[in-house]
Amino acid sequence: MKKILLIDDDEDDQLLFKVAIKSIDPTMICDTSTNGKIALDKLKVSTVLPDLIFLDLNMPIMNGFDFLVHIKKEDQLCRIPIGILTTSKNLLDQERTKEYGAKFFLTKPSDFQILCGKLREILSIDFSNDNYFSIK
Amino acid sequence: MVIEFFKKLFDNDFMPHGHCYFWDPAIVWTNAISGSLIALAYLTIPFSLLYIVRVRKDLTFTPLIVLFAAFILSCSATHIMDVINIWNPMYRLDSSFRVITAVASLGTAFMLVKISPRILSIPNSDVHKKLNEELKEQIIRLQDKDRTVKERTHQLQIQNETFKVAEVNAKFGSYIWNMNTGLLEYSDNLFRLFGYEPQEFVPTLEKFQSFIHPDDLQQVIKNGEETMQTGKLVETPYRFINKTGKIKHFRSCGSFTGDDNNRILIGTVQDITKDIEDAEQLKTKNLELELTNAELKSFNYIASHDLQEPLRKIQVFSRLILEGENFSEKTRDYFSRITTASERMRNLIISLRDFSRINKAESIFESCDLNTVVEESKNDLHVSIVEKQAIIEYENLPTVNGLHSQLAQLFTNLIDNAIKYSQAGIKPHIKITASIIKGIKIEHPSATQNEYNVIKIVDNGIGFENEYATKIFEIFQRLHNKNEYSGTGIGLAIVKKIVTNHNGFIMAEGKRDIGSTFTIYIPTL
Repeated sequence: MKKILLIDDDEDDQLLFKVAIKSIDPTMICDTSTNGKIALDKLKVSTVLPDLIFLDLNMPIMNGFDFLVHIKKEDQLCRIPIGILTTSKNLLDQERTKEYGAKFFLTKPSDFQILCGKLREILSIDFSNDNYFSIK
Repeated sequence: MVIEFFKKLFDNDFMPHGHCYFWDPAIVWTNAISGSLIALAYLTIPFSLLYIVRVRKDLTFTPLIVLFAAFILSCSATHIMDVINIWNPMYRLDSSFRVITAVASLGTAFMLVKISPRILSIPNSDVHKKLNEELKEQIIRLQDKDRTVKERTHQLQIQNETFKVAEVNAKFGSYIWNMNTGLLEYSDNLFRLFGYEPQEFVPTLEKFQSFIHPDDLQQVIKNGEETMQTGKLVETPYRFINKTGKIKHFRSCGSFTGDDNNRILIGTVQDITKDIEDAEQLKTKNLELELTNAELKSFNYIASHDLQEPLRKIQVFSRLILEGENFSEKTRDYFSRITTASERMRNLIISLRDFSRINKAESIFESCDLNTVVEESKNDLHVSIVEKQAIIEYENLPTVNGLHSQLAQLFTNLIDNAIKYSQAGIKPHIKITASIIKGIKIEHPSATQNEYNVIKIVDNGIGFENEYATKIFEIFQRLHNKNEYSGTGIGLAIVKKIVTNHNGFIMAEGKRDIGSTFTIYIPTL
């Protein structure tokens, strides 16, 4: 895994995420977009696609749910594995995103070390099959 | 010759009749005395008869009685003459009386024969008696009827008064409208509803219509016409303006009575102004409540998400800083205070959100085995139980009707409290027991149910002064310094709310440095 994309409108979380990724794998390329629409437009014209997308749910313009729906319509992009990284603990949100094709659901931890641990676990997963992964 | 006859009428030129008796004194006096007595008796009879006839004007056979009296009277004259003739023979006069007697007796006999069928048809005294008795019975019956009528009239008067009072009390008035004669009557209270004294004016249809609000008048007239055609009353609320110009709301209803020649409409109108005003007020209040509820929901969302977010950041970045650099002890202490304070605030927000989420309306009750519920709570509190080496005992807890998640939170909060407020150096020991009690045996205003499960949670913690026994269930009430014991002041408020949701109630008892007892009453299944 060489390249990942984080779609999140919260700049603090973007920063934390980047720092965490750097501490896990300094060679990993980490792109960020602040909402689903910007991310989708960028992905449509990019030459090198990310290996994994981390997606927030509550965002302006295009939220996480709509992004999941839209990207499935794009032949070039629909195979990229997407996981949810959100502040929500809502089980309904988890069920819905799973239905829309998300691979995992991670609630943002309030401890940096825990975040690093979870991300390490996620980055080691092989997403080539259709499995859903529950992150504990 | 007639004059000659009357002249000689009183002559006594014959032989006295005594000669025929040879003047035998016995015969002479016997005849004289008996004749006199007969004459006396015969004289008495006609006078008595005439007296009866005079007094009893209703007698049917008066002419006969009069004739009979005349006949007896003339008979008495002949007997008097018999006595006189013994010594003084006035046979001419005697003969004259006998002629009169013959005429009277013939007349009487003739009349008697003539009217005898009528006399025979007169009922005898037995029949009279019977008729009399029947008459008496009829009179008694009539008197009874009269009494009944009087009683009924009295009852009607009472009912009428009751109706009048009821009209005032229930704010309605009534009217009776004879549709054939056009005659209209208002009840007293209908006048009052219009703002007038009872019977202050002559009620007419036009007058009635003049009170109706101009905007509603057409509709009321239309309804009236429809009623006339179909015979069915159209019940509609409408407004009217009373004497003082105040707009009032009426609801009318009624029914028809009588036949086609005498159709009568009995109508009632009720003043529903207050009902309508109350309904309006309720509507406004409901709207306000809905708004408040919506605001509360959005507050809930904010509390569960937006309010926690900045705190999470404070915590994450504070820890990040602490891990990276080499700070002095003082700086470390300050940062640790920042993270503790933000953790505390996060717990507060979560508790507050939990408190506001505990709602009865949105959930469905099910059978909950409290043994399972307590076991779950124990699992939830595993870390602090192990840390404080707490002992939790429970057995034979009942199954109650309720919400599993809320009941779990109830026991978690209570056990958590018991562990949290344990005495330094003493291992927390919590005992949960259950029994059953009849509602009437509990001295508590909320004990309205028939039978309750009593669940006691007894601990050996720091306890509390009994004067705080009710206060501790109020939200944000804390009995201890924050640094002494952690706690948000919401835990027991949540407990109370959950128990109330389950139609029960909770009481607390404490003894300083000995322990606390929380007693929960929840209705049995």
